Amino acid sequence: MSIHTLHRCASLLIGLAFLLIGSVHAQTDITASVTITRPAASCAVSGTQDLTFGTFTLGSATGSATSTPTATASNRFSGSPSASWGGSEQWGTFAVAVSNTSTATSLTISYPSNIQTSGCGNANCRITFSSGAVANGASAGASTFSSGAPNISATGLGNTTNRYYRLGGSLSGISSTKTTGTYEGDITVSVTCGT
Amino acid sequence: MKPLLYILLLCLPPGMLHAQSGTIAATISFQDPSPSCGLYGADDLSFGSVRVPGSGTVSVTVNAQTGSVTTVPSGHSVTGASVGDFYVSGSHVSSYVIGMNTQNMPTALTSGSNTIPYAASTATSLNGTTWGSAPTPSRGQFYLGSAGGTFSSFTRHFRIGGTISSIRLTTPRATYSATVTLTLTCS
Repeated sequence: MSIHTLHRCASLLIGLAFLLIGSVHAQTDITASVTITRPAASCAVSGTQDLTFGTFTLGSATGSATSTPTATASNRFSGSPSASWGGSEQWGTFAVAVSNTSTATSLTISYPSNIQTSGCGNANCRITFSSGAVANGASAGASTFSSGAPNISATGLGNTTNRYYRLGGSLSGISSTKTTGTYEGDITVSVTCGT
Repeated sequence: MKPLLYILLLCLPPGMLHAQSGTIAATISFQDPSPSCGLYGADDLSFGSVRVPGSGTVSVTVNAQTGSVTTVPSGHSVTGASVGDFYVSGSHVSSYVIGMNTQNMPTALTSGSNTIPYAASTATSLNGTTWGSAPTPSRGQFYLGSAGGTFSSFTRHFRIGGTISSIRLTTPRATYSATVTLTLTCS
């Protein structure tokens, strides 16, 4: 190896060492992130309206009152010829709106076992709610509602489905021993939907 | 050159349930039936046709409890006499008042300016068969009664009789009368 060659190699090594030392102190990291979410599933109960059987004039015998959600109001009392119905029956109603879900929506309706007057302390101010009835329709103003309360099928992301329901039921044990006044109980409607 | 590191994070939430509920009141109202009643079957009290006596005076009695007709002196000619009667009936009534348009029962039958003394008597019955005396009407009230209240019905019968007196030969021939208007109020 000549003197000239040795000189060139020494210069190259010195330059490389300088470059390595300088580049270590100049390095840094930059992080870019993005979060992607899906619209939340929702299901809501709205448009609730109370179920009222109307006003009855008590008779001497025992009978029952029925509200049928698929039929128009008529005489709602049976079993006591001396009792009379004063009208003003109204179905209970509610609507369910379901959005952004791909699973079926579960609908649960809990009826009271009885309805009673305020401050009721005995059976004379309590009426048995013997059964509930429900019908459903595609719109609130539909001329006909179908019996039963089907769950709402999944409609997927970005979609909202509305369903309308009517509630009725039967009250039994209405007799002359009952206290006059207004009897009331609560029907609870629950909807559950999943993502 | 500076190295760049890109990290993409896809964040998907785990499966969740959403629930909501609403409350609907169920109501019914009861009321007692209203009391109702009426006054029915009114038949006038009639002393019939009484022949005036040749002398003295005659009185005629229509017995309210029995309906029988007697005269003093006995055996005097009277035809067509009959007791007056009516009955009241109703439902869901606790009490009732049979009112009169006069403070008391009439004390005379009249024909124009002529009068015949009259003393009323009354009887009452629950079944129309067994009769007893009724309280003497007064102060515009013929009878005050009680009934079984709500979910029951009632009927009570009444008869009106009495005695006319001082009929004599000089009593003008005419038809004598008196009228009492009865009203019924139930509660």
